[in-house]
Amino acid sequence: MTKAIFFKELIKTRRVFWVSLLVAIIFAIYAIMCIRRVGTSHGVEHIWLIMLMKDQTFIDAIKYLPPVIGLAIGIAQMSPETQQKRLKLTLHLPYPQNKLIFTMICAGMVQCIFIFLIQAFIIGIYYYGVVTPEMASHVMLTTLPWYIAGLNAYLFTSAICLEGTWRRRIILSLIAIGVISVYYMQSVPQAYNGMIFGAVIFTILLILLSLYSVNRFKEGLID
Amino acid sequence: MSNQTETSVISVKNLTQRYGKGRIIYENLSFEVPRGRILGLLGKNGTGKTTTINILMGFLKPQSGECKIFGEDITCMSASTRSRIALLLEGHVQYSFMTIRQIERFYSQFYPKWNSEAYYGLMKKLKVTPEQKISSMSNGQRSQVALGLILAQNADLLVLDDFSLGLDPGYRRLFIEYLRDFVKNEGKTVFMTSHIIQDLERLIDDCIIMDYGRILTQMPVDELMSTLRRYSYSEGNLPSGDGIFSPWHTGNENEFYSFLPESEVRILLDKQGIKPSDLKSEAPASLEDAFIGLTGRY
Amino acid sequence: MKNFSKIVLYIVAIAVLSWFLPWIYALMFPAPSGEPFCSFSPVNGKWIISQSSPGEKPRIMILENETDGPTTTIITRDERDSLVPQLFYKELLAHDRLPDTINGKVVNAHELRSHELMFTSSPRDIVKRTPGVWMMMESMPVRVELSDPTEVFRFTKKGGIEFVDMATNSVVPDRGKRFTETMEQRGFVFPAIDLSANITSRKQYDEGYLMIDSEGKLFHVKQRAGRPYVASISMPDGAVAEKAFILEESDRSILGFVADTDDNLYIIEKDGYRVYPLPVGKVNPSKENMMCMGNLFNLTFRFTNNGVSRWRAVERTDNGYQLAGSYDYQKPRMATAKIADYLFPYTLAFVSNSDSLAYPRFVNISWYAIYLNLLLALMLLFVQRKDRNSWTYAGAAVTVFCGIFSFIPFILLKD
Repeated sequence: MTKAIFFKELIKTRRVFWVSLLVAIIFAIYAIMCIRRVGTSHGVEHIWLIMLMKDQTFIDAIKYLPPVIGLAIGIAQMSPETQQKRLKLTLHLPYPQNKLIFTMICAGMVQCIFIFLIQAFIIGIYYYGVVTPEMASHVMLTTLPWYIAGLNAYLFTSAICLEGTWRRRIILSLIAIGVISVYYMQSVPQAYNGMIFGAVIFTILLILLSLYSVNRFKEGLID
Repeated sequence: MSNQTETSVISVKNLTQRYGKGRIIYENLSFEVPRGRILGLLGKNGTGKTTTINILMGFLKPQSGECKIFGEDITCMSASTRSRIALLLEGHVQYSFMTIRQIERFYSQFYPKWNSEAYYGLMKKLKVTPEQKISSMSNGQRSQVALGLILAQNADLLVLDDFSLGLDPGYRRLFIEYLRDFVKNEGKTVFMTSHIIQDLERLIDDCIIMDYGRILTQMPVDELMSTLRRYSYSEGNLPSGDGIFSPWHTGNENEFYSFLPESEVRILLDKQGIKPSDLKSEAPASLEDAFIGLTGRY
Repeated sequence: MKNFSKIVLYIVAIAVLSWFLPWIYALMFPAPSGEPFCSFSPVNGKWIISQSSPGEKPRIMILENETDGPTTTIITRDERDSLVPQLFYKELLAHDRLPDTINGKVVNAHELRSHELMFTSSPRDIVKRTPGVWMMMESMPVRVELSDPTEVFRFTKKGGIEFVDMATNSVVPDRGKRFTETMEQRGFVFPAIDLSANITSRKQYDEGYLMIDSEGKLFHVKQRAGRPYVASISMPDGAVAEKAFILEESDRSILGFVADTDDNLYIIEKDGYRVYPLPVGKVNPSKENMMCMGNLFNLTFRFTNNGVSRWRAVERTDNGYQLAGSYDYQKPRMATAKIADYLFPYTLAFVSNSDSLAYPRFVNISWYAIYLNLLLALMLLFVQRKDRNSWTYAGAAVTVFCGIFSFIPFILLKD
């Protein structure tokens, strides 16, 4: 049954998933090309110099992409559920309801994480080739809060789509903007290291928002 | 808990529901749906038919009252009980992003008694390929997909919310015939609503007729058709009071409906100073006439 | 599960408002700058303060130290130029007003320029995460000009130093070994806990690094013709070094500053690596912004933290450095900031001017907001009087502490 739920979620999101994956790869390649251009025109040492002295990572191009991907996958996955109140069909499936929603969310998160991993892998492989492992880790740890922001964007989008009232959707959207902007407050590399663990726990807790939206749907709190 | 020996598949007691905190939809509504019967819930728009189905399926929390299906409280219905209930949403809503084959593959994983032949048998009648997406189909075709899925589930209880919505007569007829054969042969219990009463006439055993805020009557259709009488006369005023339904003046004729026999009606009219010389009594021509007779034209 | 989900939503909403409302409030009512700029006059031994406020003409004042408290005397720009010739010698020279000597010191453009020193440090540059590799310049380049570095170094787990060539991203053999051996010979205990260098070829000369080893000992490490130069620098009276700052200014006599674990600040003179305590009070570079302007006559420091600027002027004596003047400036709080104390019981901040890290922290905790908090808690009970439930009482209780941050969610998110 879990497989069937994943199958359903994949049918909804596959187009957006592939497009997102492609865009993520293009952005990663673009970031690499930007680094290579700096290396070609000023010498490889210049990349090191800028990274170490100016706190630059050269990958700002991908910074806001994870939340956009999270948003796109969230909408692609959850809006068909709320159109024509199709969620009733899903909730009527002979499967424990909370587990069902949790499985759906997992399916979306797995897709987001897969895309993020591929992108991070491409950037990481390049960086590990041109700078020391410490510097490459420095860059990858800098991207981590952006990817967590992407997962947060996905979870908020899911909760917003599954929510039945416009008033709540607007409130949840404002909260989402507030939460996601936290991940972009400090641009210094590795600034978020100290709160990564907390952010991961927070992200896991955000799954509950979708369960809450569904609970409200079950109570008939819909426009 | 499911109970194979219970006689009522659905049991509703003192159900009260309002629009938010405002107007009452109904108060202390109670009814039961016996095992193996096809029950139609009839009512004008806004009387709470879909609301009742939403409550029964756990998509709306009632303000008060108790609802049980297969003896299990609907507020905490188990997955195994849900597997015994096939649900058709208003407008034949289904996962329209799936194809004919995908949706069958998906649902088959959830229902232990899944019957693929029932689904594909009905699909053969549609001029569609298994790879066709449901969203690209007509309303009629979609209704058959939804029906096919319900039949394949082989559930003990079928809950159908306004199955005729958006269907042309041909598809309505196809839907009814397939459904009737299925439920009669398999001894299923059906709880259904429709805004087209004549469709139900060919299908249902019992009916509940709802008015705003209350149930007007619950009885077998045969009994309704044999006991409800349409009375008409040309002279005098319109009657009122208990036992008189939908008094109406049209042209030169006064009419009303009542479950009372003619002799009792004459006494009742006499008491109200109405002495018609040409009082006629007749059975309603159709279930729709009976419905209009009980609920009124507007 | 439903209640737990609801609690999570409320906590998230309260947290978002706890940073957003104070942030938007500060954005609406920005605090004007207007921080005075002070310089210490070698002519009259007093502070010369230049201050400009928005919409007002800049004021230049002499701070007079009267017995019943400091007073100020307004002066003109020309008068100011004569009092602080170390800053305005170009203007004085243009008008032929630069004296030949001040306090017995010969004064001319060359002398003044060669003793100029400018140093700034911010906690944001100190409290941040680094990749763990550092660049090493060549202090004795083949040509006159300095070149950008081509190698970085790291401290190895084995307890040593290792160099990596940037162009090939590969370890440079031997150099690390040579550095490790030399450093160990000088008593360096690996790894370093602090390093300070100015990596740029746009400077007059390179002094490499000031490093503090794992035992709090101070070292001067640089690369000369590819070979290590390591010197141990003795801290006075057993002080344990914590944070060092290297200077590569026109005044080559000063190598840098160092702060110890007891928040004392020292100056390191190049000649004989002499380290003198600076009588400027307690200084924590990890929490305070530091600025130092040096000139022929004195060193003027400014330490800023939490709206307080401590200006200190120190002069070189035969035995070290002595305090010549001090001036503390408390930035006045705007009325809007005082109102904020009554509105917001606390602020949830993720970033700070005191570091380059991001993590949640409660700042600006104000007990004045308790009045509004109580009022809002009562309002919540009143507004929801018809359908009070346990959530209403929980909301009122939370509002006593979180005030407006929880009042809004408990009103807006009510089912």
